[in-house]
Amino acid sequence: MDEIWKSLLGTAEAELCGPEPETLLERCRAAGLQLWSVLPVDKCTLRLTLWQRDLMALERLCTAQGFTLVVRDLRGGSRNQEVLRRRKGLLLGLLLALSLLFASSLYVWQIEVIGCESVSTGLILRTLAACGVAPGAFRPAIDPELVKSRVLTELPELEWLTVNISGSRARVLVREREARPELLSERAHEELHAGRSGIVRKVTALSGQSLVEPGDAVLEGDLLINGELESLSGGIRQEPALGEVQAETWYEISSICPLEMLQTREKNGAAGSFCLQIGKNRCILWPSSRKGLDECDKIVHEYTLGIEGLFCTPLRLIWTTRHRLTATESFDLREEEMKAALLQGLEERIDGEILDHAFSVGRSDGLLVVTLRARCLENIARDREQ
Amino acid sequence: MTKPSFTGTLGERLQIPGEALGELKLSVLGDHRALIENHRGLLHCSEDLLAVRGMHMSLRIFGGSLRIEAMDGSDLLLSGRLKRVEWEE
Repeated sequence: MDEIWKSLLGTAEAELCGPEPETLLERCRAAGLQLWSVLPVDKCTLRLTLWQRDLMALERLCTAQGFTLVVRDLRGGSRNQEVLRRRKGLLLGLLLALSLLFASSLYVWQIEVIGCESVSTGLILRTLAACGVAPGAFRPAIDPELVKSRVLTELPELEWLTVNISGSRARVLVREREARPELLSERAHEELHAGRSGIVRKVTALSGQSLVEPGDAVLEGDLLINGELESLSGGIRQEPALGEVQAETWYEISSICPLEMLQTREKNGAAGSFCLQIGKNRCILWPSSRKGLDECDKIVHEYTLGIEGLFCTPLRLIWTTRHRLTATESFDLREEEMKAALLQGLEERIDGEILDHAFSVGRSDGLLVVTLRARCLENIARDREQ
Repeated sequence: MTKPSFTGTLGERLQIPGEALGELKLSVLGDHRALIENHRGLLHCSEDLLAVRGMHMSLRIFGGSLRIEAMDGSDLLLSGRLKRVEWEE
């Protein structure tokens, strides 16, 4: 900025020669001349830089003090001003751009939501838009306190919200309301039920009374361990039901996927498009037609014109890369992936081990069906609420 | 023992920063740059000595290859190799 200013106003490098040059410097200071790069060449000579507009004043001071003044160099100033004077279109364009920049800074063009996890950013943005905070909103008309109270009324999931507007950027900080902890039922641990049908192999009742024995077949939901025990005094006393019931269980899980899948082609098959978004209006610059681009994977790069943290403009460049999709059949690979996924899913699902398992594979109606049949040994005792 | 200046005493009593009362302020960056604020005039300027006048004192900076980077009515930015600073009433 300093350099632009210097090139517009113009600077001059001068050499002064005379007795006690500091007296002349003192006079310059008293006269309010701005000097820089003051370099004593010898006892009687000084070299310095000053504004071109101050040259006449310096010349007068030199004459009064008996100094000789030599102007060594002139930079910028009248020469640059002359260039601008000749190119009136350029000057007008610059002024217009600056005016537009100033005008655009009065509007909000970018909204950033920070701090949301369970509530979606889109929902918050839509609610903000309904409250008047949207791209293109007039900045002085936004009352952050009013927006805060309206959004908090609309979204009870939010506990606190604040809108900070700097330049054309609005930063919305939110804090979500913490969910109330679930109340634990007093009867939650009184009984253990079968979480799955099977044949009981081992019962370990740590607390409470076991109602099944090894070899019994149980159905899902059957009572396995009861916490109600007979008291020595004749009544019923309640204890938490604790224990494990190991049972043999059977699973049959299927996974289906189409035989043909669309996959992205290599990068050299990619196509791109270039858009300019002004406010909410999007203008496709290239290509003008979207024909043949529907079945494509899209990767969108967005760039908002402006300086990060300082200002932003309503202009946004959007470069979209589209990778064409082609139908390919990689049957073996997918079958193995599905088998591995089924097995992994079952291991994560049971509280025990898989004793043996088998897969069956079928193809019909353009679909690949992989079925896993497994025999497991697992703990099937569950609380009522699980 | 020398008596402190009136502005110094006043500044201390009223808790006003000295520079607001026009006292000379010297800020030194390493041994190569010095900023003198609120000076009242240049007394001497050469490659090895710069002397300026303050409100109640004068300041002399000794060094080598001294050069005034910028100067206006009250502030002066000095560069070069700074060696010694002296104050004189």
